[in-house]
Amino acid sequence: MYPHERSLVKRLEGGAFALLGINTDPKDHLKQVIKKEKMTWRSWWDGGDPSGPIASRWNVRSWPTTYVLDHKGVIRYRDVREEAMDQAVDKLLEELGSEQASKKQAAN
Amino acid sequence: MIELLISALLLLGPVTAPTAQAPANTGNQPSTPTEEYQALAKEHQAASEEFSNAYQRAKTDEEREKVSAKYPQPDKYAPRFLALARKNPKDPAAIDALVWVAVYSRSGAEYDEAMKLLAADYIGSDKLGQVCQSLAFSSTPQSEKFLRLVLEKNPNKEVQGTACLSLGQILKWQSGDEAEKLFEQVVAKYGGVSNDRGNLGERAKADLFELRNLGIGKTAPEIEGEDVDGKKFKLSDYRGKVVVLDFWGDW
Repeated sequence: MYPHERSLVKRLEGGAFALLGINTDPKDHLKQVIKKEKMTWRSWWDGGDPSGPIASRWNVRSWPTTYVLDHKGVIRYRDVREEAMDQAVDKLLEELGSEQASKKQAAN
Repeated sequence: MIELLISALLLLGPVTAPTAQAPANTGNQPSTPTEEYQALAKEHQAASEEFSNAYQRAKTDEEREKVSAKYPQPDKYAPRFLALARKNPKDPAAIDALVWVAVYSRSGAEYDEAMKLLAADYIGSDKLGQVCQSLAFSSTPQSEKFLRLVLEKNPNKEVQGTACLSLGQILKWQSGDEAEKLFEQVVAKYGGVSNDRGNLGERAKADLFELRNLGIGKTAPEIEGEDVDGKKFKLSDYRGKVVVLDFWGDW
């Protein structure tokens, strides 16, 4: 997980992309992991427990669970990992790019 | 791999074997089927505890990898439980042994056989709750069939409610309409029933929320909270960007 996420975040640095975590670990432990794994992305700290408020609301029953949202905040993929996650993100970035391009064209 | 293994252990919850009522075993040799069952379950439990202690003691990934190789595979115990059930089909220990295989083994020839025997001879048993609970994570046609059979034939409310919830959970993303009806049924009919995972009605409501709001094509609900340093931020701050949400834990 961590090496893949690190490379995804690095590859898309400065782009219209964000990786956001929702973490269930105790606070001290989370602090250590962020440092040790050189995480540059943010995580909500969900109370130190798998039944934290965010995970409960999202009905998460297994970890890790992932969602990929497009730039409008619409859920487009669930539970994709590694390569499948990269492909999903790239596809949505492409969509965003072509939408912006056609808007620009329309404005001209 | 290790990550998956640990989540599987967490999902199983505390390692408690189904319990059978029996007089205390004073000798070393199990003499009744129930004692034999208990001795087997104890053997596996001791091995699991030893494994999890060793895993916690391991400090490096390499050490953890080494410990993982020694994980007491339920599949190695399953044939002995199955043989016990086959030898004593009328004894209460038979169902405990089959439930053990169904809950711990989860796939393979012994699992298939145990599920077949449970469906054929013990479908009305009040001990099937744990099996129905574990089927929530197994979306095979076989699991679906078993849960439907339990719903139809088992008179116990907790077992029925658990089967109804699990069936909804495995159908959630393949037949949303039926799943929705099943969850609504759990809320209406089994809302007051609890099993060792909590109140069935509350869990069905959470599933209904997920089904209605967290599917592909739905706008993600807002997330508001704090990061590890106490700084507040919310999901909508990132509107305009492609976002990966990752529910994670460093287990």
